[in-house]
Amino acid sequence: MASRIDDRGIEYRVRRVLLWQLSGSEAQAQRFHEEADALGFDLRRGPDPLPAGQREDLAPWASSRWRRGRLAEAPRRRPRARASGRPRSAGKWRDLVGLAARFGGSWSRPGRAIARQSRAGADALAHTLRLGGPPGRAKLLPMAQLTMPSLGADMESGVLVEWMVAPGDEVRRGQVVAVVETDKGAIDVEIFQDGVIEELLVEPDTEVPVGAPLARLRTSGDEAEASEPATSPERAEATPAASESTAAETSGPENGGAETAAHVPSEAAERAKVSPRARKLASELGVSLRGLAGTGPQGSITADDVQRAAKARPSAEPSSMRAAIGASMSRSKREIPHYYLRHTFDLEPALRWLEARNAEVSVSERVLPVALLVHAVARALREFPELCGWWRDEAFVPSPRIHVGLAVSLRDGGLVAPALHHADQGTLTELFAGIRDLTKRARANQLRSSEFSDAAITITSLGDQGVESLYGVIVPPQVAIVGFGSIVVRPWVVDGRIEARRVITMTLSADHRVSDGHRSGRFLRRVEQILQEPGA
Amino acid sequence: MSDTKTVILAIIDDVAPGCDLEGLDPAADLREELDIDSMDFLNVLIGIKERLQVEVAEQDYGEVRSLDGLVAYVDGRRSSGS
Amino acid sequence: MSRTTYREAVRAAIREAMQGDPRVFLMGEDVGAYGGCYAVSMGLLDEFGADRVRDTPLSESAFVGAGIGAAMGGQRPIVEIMTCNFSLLALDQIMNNAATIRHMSGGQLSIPVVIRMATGAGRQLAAQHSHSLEGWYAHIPGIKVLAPATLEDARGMLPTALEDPDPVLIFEHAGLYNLAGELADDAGAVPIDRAAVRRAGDRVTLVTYGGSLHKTLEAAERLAGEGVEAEVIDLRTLRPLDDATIMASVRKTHRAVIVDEGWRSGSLAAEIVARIMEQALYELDAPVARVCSAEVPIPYAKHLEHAALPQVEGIVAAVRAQLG
Repeated sequence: MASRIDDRGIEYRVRRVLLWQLSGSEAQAQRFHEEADALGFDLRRGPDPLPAGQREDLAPWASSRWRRGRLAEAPRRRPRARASGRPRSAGKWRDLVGLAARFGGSWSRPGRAIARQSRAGADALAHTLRLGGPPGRAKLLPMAQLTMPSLGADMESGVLVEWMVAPGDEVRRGQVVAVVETDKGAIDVEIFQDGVIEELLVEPDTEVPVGAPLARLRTSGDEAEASEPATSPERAEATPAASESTAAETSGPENGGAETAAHVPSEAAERAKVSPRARKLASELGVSLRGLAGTGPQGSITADDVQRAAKARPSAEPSSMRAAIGASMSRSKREIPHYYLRHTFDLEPALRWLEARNAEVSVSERVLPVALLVHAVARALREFPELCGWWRDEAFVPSPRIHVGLAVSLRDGGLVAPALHHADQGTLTELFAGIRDLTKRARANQLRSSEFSDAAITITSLGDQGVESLYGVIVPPQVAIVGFGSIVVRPWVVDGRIEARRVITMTLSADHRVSDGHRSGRFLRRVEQILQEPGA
Repeated sequence: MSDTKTVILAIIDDVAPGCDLEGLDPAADLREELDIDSMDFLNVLIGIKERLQVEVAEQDYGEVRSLDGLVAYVDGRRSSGS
Repeated sequence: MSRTTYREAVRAAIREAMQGDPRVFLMGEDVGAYGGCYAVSMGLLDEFGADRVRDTPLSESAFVGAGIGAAMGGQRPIVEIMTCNFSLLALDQIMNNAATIRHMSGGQLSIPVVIRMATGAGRQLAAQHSHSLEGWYAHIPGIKVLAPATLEDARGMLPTALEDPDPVLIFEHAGLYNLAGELADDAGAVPIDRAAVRRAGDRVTLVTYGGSLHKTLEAAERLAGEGVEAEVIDLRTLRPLDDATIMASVRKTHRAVIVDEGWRSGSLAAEIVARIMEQALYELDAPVARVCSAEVPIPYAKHLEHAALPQVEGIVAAVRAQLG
C-alpha cells in the first residue's frame, strides 16, 4: 500500500515540475515531454494537483507522526563511508530530480509562466520561490541560499550529517556539498549553482526543516540564475507538493487538538469566513467549525449557524440513535468484508500490577482495567497502521493519529463511540482520566463534534458484568473494531501447572480490503505481550 | 434513613441520574440492581471520598456490593476515624 | 403636551436661558433684526433688546473670539454660526483658544461658551452650506459636541450646555428645524453625557445621530415589516462618545451599522467602528457596516443631493447585507 502512495506522490511531483517546465521555451517544453515519456510518466494531464480525493490520500503519508511510527520499526540508518554503496532513494525519483534540475535551472521568465498558468499554478510558483509575493521579484534576492531539500512529500526535515565544503570554498553546479540523513537513508546534497560558499548556517547533527537555509552562497554574477535558491530544482518541485499535502497538519494543533489530520479540509474550508462571535461561541459549545455551512454575509458562519450545529449534534435520543446505529451497521455489513480473530490470554499479571498500583493511591486516582486495555491496543496500533484509518473513495487512508473510538453504552439504551484523541500518548493515569471524562460527557450528551468523527478504530468492552467475548461490527469508514469480553477466572496453564487465572478474550473484526489475518493475528499477540509487562 | 444512606443515594443519583432508587433493594448487589458499570461504581466511590471522607479500598469491594454494605462500611470507617 | 417644532423648541430654550440668567446673551450673523437665518431667534430682539441679541459683522473669527472672551470674562454667551461650513473661519478660535485655555491656564480660566450652528444637507444649499463637519469637531479634546435630533433635545440640551464650564458646540441639522411634534409643557434640561436608545431591537444595532436619526428610524420600521427588529441608538453627544450604550447594544444584537451624514473617510462613523472593534469584536456576527455620504462636495441638484446622502433604502440594504 505504501509503495502505491509513493508512486502517486512522485507522479504528483512530476506535475509540479511542469510548472517549471512551462516557464521555459517551447523547445524546452518539447524536450521535457520527450524525456518524461522516456521515463514513463504521463504528463499530459497538465500541472494541476491530484484530484481532491487522491490529494487526501497523500496527507497521512506526509504526516510526521505516522512516519515516526514507521521509523520505529526499523533502526535509523547511519551514513556509511562515501565509497561504499550508500542507500539511495528510488532510481526513478533520482532521474526526475535530474530532469527537473535541467529544466528548472533555466527558469527565467516568471511573468510568462504566471500568464500561462492558472491562479493556483501562480501561487505554487510564488510558493516555490518562497517569496510570499509575485515571483517576478525574485531578481531582488542578492545572494543564493542552499536550503534543506525536500526528498519526498513526506519529508519535513532532515539531519545535516556532514559538510563536504567549508566557507570560502568555490563550488560548481552539481557538486556534493553536504550529506543529509532522512528516512530514505543518507542523501548527498548537490548544489545547483556555481559560486563561493559564504557561510555555513547549520552545524552537523542538526535537524533542519525542509526549506530552511543551510548555507549562503555568493554567486558569480547577477544573471537571472543568481536569483534562484541554490537547491532550486529539488526544492522547487517538491515544496508545493509538500505544503499542499501537509495542509492537514498545519490546520490543527499538532498535539492533542480536537482538530486532526483525519479530515483534510477543502481549500474553501480553510478560508472559511467565521464571524468573531461565531468563533467564540463554537469554542464555548465545543462545535467544530469545519464543514459548517455559513448563512451570514458572504456565506460567513454566524453564531446562529453554530447554534444550529450545536442543536443538530447527534443526540442521545434512543429512537433516532437506534436508527443511526441500524443504518451504520447495515452499511458496514453490506459493504465491509469482515474477518474475525479471537485470542484469549492471561490478564493476571496486568491486573496484579494494577491492583498494587491502585492500593497505593487515593480512590480518585484509581485506574480501571479498561485503561490498561485501551493503552495496550493504542500502543500496539502504532505498529499496525493498516488497522487504524478509514476506507474512503475506494482506498484505505491510514490515520496519522491514534484516535480510538470507545463504545460507551448510554443509560437509556443505545451507544456512542466517541474518539479518545491520541490514545497512544501520555501516561496510563492521563489516559484513564481521558476515558472517564469521555464516558461522563458521552452519557451527559456533551460530546464535541470532532469526537464523533475522528475515531480511526473502535474499541468495545463488555466490562466486568458481561460475557466472555463479543465480535464487533466495524463502524464505517473505519476498518477495524477490537472487542474485549469480560474478565473471567479460568483454569490456565502457567509454567506447566494449572492455575485459576483471570483471563480475557480479545477479538478483532477487520476489513479484508485493507488487512489480512496473518498480520492482524500478530497485532492481537502484540497487545497480549504489552499487557504482560503493564508497568513498562 | 441514616444520613450516610441519604448522602450515598444522592451520590448515586449524581453519577447515574435516572436510576430507580426508590425501588432499590438495599441488600441486593447494587451494580446489578442499577445496571451501573465499573466506571460509575468508581465514580460513586470517588463521590463518597469527597463528600464523606471515606476511602473504600479495592480489596474491600466485596463488603460494599450492596447499599446496606456500603452504608455499614462507610459508617464503620467514620466512627473509627473520629 | 403642546404641538411645536424643533425651531421653536430651540428658541424656547434660548428664551428661557436669557430670562433665567442675565449673563446669557445671543450673538451672531442676522440673529437680531432678521431673526436668524433659520428664523430660530425670531422675536428675541424685541423681547430682550439689542444688548442681549447682538447682530455681528460677517466675521466668524471675530464674533466667536468675542464670545470666548465674554465667557472668559464671566458671561454666558450663546454664539450662533450660520452653517458649520462657515465655522471653519472660526476654527482657530474654537480649537486654539476655546478648547485649550482651561488646560493652558492650569485650570484658572474656563470658557463656558455655547456655540450653535446649523449642519447638514438636504435643502439644496449646495456645497458651501451643506456639509456635516461635526465629526471634525468631535476630534478636538477640550470641547463637547452635541447633536440634538429630537424636540426634547432641541429644547433641553442648551440649558445643560450653558451649565457646563467648558465650551459646548451644538450642531442643529438644518433639515430638522421644521420637524414638528408634541413636546411636554414642562420639558427642560436633559443630560448631555449619554446616548439614547430610540428604538429597541435585537437583530442589528443602528448607530446614528442628528439629521440621520429619522431616516434610520424609518428604515428600522421598514425592517420590522420584514421581521427584522433593529435597535436604533441616537448618539446625542458626539464628544465624548457614550461607548457603554453602543457596546451594550452590540452585545445584544451582534451586528452594527453606523449611519453618518459625514463623509466616510476619517469620520465619526470610522471612530465608532474602531471602538466596536476594540471593545466588542468577539460579539460580532458580521463585519460592521457604514452608511455615509458619498465622498463628493454635496451637490446642488436635487436628485444628486438625494443620491449623495444616506437614505432609508441604503440603510435597509446595509442591514440586509449584515444578515446575509
